Amino acid sequence: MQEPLDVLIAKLASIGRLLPEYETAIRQLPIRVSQLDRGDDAVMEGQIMGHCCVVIEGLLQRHKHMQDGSRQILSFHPAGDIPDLQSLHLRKVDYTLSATTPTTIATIRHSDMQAMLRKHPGLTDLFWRDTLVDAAKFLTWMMLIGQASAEARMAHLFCEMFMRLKSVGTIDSFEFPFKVTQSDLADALGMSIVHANRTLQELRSAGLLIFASGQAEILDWPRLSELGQFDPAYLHLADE
Amino acid sequence: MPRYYFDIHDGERLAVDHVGTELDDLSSARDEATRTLSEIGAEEIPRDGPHREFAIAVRDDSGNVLFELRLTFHTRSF
Repeated sequence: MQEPLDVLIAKLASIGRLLPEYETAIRQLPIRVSQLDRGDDAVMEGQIMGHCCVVIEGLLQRHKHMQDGSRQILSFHPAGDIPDLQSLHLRKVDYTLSATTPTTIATIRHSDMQAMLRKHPGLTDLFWRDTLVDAAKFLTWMMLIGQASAEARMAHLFCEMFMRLKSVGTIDSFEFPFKVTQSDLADALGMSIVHANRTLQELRSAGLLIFASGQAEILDWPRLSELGQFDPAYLHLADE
Repeated sequence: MPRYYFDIHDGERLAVDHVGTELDDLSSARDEATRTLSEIGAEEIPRDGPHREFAIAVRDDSGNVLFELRLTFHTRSF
């Protein structure tokens, strides 16, 4: 039977070795499932956390705001991610997590998480690995924002989402939902909305990618990943 | 929110915007066009040529051109 935390199990299995007793321990975690609408916050900057959340279905985005109100989206988190795992040790959060689309999350109390990790130190290693892979994603993101052309940034983002969704078994084709708006893309890639639209148009007329109304289709993976200089090594997918 | 259409000319070809973008008002549309023009200039000017010209014309839903912005890059050698 499908259980809410199966997505987390799939996620952890995609980045390392997951023993059967770990799966059992994760399934036994007490959770509280809640629904978020687009724009609802799962975690707010400054909040002191006593729990962390797993994305069960949908998409969360991590973002921060400048004083003038401009927003930078720092990461997207599809099903299986625990985007605020850091709060286990850094309880006062320094970012906001909001739903990009209607999203289901499961919250896990820190105390339950800690009890499980004390019992299964191997799981601690796996979660540690997960946060390090997250850090590796931020490094790549930083390099792209600072150095890559608009087309390369856009291409890379779609390559990464495709690879991440595929690695946890959420999708199995080059046509997949990515429920972001043009304005989300703009704020993630550090460009204006009109520039983001123009960049998507260019990728479309080059026959690389179609993106409309939250639905993506990669038309030419080799050329899109070449343009985005996408090398999946930084995702450390089960390369242990 | 009103929808604005941003037609972009990059000196070689005109990309007509058929989709448009919803923005608060005319002043937001002007900000959006200004930012876009400077971003496109920053991206494309270093790529080629000592002379480049970019323009954005912004239309409303009924097709009226509301304003136009122009960015010229010119190199003069001595």
